[in-house]
Order: sequence, then C-alpha cells, then structure tokens
Amino acid sequence: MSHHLSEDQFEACIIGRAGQHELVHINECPECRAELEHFRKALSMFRSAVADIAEEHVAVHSSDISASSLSSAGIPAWRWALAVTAFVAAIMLPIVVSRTNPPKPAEHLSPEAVMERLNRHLSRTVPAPMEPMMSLISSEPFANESGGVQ
Amino acid sequence: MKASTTTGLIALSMENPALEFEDFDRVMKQHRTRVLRFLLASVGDMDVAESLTQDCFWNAYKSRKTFRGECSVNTWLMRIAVNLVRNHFRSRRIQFWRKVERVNPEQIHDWADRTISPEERAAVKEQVQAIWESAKTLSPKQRTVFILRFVEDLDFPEIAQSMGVTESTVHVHLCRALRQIRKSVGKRK
Repeated sequence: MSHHLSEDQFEACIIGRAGQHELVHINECPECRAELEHFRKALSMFRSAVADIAEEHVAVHSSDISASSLSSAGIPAWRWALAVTAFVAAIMLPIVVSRTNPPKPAEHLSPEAVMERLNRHLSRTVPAPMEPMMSLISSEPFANESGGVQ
Repeated sequence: MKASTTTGLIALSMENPALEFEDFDRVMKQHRTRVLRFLLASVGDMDVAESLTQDCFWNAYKSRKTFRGECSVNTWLMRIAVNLVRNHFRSRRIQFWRKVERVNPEQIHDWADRTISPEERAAVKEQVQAIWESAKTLSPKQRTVFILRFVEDLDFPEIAQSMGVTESTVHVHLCRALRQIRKSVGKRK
C-alpha cells in the first residue's frame, strides 16, 4: 500500500479542491510536496509561455484591430480575394471570348448584287430548303405509271 | 466631476448591461490579449487564433445588445470563443488546403523567463513543450477546460458558464485532462 497521495487526491490538490487529509499529507511528505511543486511550476511556465507569445503578437499587431475594422474583419481576406476574382472574371470572360472568336464582319454588297439575289429568291418555285429535293425528283425517271407497284 | 460621470456610467451600465459595449474599442483593447491567448492555446496556430479572435469580437459586436449582464464581459467573450473553437475543430477536416502558420515549438522554447537559472530553464522548457504537445491530444472539451483553468485562471463557475455545462462536468473533464498531462510531464515518484 502506497503512503503517497493517490491520483485523485493529487488532482484535487492541483485544482485547489484538496481536503484536510491531503493538505496535512502535503505538509508532511516531502516527496508529494516536491511532486506537486514540480507540476505546478510546469503549468505556470506553460501559462507564461502562451501568455508571452500572445502578448508579443498583440504588441506587434496592436494597431490592426479596432471596432471600425471589425466589419471587414468578419470576412476573411481570402474570401474577399475570391469574390473580387469572380467579379473580374465575370467581366473579362465575355471580352476574352469575343476576342478569340471575332464576329464576322458585316457583308457589304453592291446594289446590283442585292437585286440579283432578290430576283433569284423571287424566281424560286419552292422554298430554298426544298430545292435539293425537287432536283432529285425531276432528274429521276419514274419506274412506271403505277409508281413501281407490280 | 469626472468621478461622478464615471459613477453615473457604471450605474447606467448596471441598469442596461449593453452599455458595457458602448465603447467597443475599449472592450477590445481590454480583452483582446486574453481572448487571443485562450484561442492560441486551444488551436496551437497563431494565424487561426488571430482570425478567431477577430471573429469573436465581431460576434460580440453584432450581439452586444443581447448581453444581459448575467456574467462578466470576460466570461461572455470566453463563451463566444469556446463556441468558435468548437466550430473550428468541426470544420477543420475541410480546411486541409488552408495555409497554416503553426506556432513553432521553438517559439514556446524561446520565451524569456529571467527569473530562473539556465539549467532550470532547460528542464522547464522540456516540460512546457510536453504540456503543449499533450494538450493537443486531449479531447476538445478536456482541452478547453484545461486552458480555461490553467491559462485563463477562471474558476469552476466561470468555466461552466463559458462552456454551458455544469460544474461537475467541468470537474470530470479537468481531472481527465490533468491525468493525461501529468503522464506527459512525467512523475517524479
């Protein structure tokens, strides 16, 4: 059987909830007292280390933060960058696309050419899309009067 | 004259706790280091800690009118910070691509403590590093309780308020955290 503090008793001492029995033991047992001091010191140094790093950072960046800067701080910088990039891309994309595929220049025709084209259009007996079909019918001789039915 | 003005302001803020945030720059100046310290110890990353600190004050600023004065401003800010840490660890899985600037372990080693001898400092540095590493392996709740108690020096009721749990839950988490931390620091017996 150990004559030293158990884990639970030791933890109670560290968190400041030790009972009378534990306190008496700590006073009487140099080993437990040294163990407690050792751990408390380590915790205290840990606290100092974190505090110093945070204080140093705040001292360096003390002017970075104020209530007026909070509205912009609410949105991280990378999100702003992403939004600006998307906005620029939305503007630039149509320009880039139109440059790579330039629109066909307007066809300038002489009045004679326009009249010729109009005459050709008016002289059509069937609509232009049907013209190839009509030429096919006219060039192919009929098999017989019954339309090929024997 | 100035004293009576201050007294008047305190009396007003007792009636209307939201007045605590009237001068928000002052609130930030007063609490920024503490919030950053807690967040740094929680996430181990100065870049993230700074970003979460700004989020913490932004959230506080947005909801300052809902502050009812049931706890101190510090406890209220800690509650916001605790929630931010919780959300951070929930979303961390999708942040693998994010550039992180973790706190260099050397930074932990290099803090200047002039009160102890170089030999003692070397031994203590090793323990501090062990605590730092061990704290990372704790569960989020254990880590938060541990940091609020031993870095922020909050008492049990304040920790319970900050985390929205009971004092006995705080006690259980703290004991488990301490047991794990003690293993890493090493026992002398």
